[in-house]
Amino acid sequence: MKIKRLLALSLMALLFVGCAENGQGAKKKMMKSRYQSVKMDQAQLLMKGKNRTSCTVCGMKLPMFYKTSHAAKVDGHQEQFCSIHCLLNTINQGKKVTDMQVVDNETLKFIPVNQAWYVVKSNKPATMSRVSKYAFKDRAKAEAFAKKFGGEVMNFEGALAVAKEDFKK
Amino acid sequence: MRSIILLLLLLNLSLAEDLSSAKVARLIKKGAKIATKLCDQKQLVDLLGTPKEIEQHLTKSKPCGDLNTKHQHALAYYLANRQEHNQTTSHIDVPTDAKCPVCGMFVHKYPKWSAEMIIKGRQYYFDGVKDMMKYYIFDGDFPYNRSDITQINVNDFYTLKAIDAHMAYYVIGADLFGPMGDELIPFESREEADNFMRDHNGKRILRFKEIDAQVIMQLDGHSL
Repeated sequence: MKIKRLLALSLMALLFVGCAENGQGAKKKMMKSRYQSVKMDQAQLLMKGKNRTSCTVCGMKLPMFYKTSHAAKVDGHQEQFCSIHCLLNTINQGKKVTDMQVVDNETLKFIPVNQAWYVVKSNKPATMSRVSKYAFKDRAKAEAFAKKFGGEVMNFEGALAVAKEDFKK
Repeated sequence: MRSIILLLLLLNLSLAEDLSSAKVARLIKKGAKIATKLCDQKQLVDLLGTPKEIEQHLTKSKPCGDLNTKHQHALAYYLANRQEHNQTTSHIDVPTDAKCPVCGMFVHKYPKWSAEMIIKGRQYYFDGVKDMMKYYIFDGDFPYNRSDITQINVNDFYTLKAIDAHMAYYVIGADLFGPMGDELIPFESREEADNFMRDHNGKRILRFKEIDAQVIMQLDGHSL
């Protein structure tokens, strides 16, 4: 009888130790998410088909770089890019690029580029570049962002000219 | 009755063969660890030949101090495998449709920055050492059995030769940027890494085992 109880006790002890070890082993390392990232359901994905979550130029995951995402009709087809860099890459190929859009960093919705105010060269990370460019529909929001994180507020043409510098290297 | 014995014999033989290839893979992995931890890397470069020949050299020249025979055996297999690999692939050959499993980027557009990993015989390509290390370190984001990794290669930044990631010297903080920004830039020798660091204002040289979650997150601009 005593032996049985001892056995049961030691079994329980073993189980307990086992659980404690499991608890420790379950602590997995996770990356910190990028500043540009949003969750899949927060991202507006404008293309259709199985590649709709990837930048049409470089292949990068669009929700991962969403806050710098751009979109345009290219030869009539809807395309979406991770950044102004990959949009410019498409323009440089001499394709017919119309209906250009950019993500408004306040609402996380797409707006036409001619309504956007870009904060260029803030200390937030850049996508496909060393110089970051984040767009806002509301100029006051852009100014506030620049005050907080540095950078200069300019329109789409200004931001595009800065992006062009990366192609000269 | 005889056929059954024959069948059993055959089964036994095939099993034995399977075991030996798995055993070699284990030896190579163990050898890689020994090489990074215990050896004078410069002396290892010249050790060429079959595992047996290399073992003889190791006994004579002792580039890793006094190793027991088991360790020496593993190291010899690792070195023989490395040389074979270096001869067959001069640089990492990236297929045009390969996408980085971390960020999704097409890897072939930036071949010199690429890195590769072989897991259970399947090849994975990365647009840079940084993303490759993310795939290696962050088991919460990328769950798979790390012991299934049989090979990790990076390109020597000067020669573009594919080298074993465990053996490379990595420069961080330099003024040269990969497609994903700040990178770990790999070199086969300490001298190359030193030269690069001088020419490009590098901050530090790291070995494979010194690269951890903190190093990677800091390269991505996260302060810790």
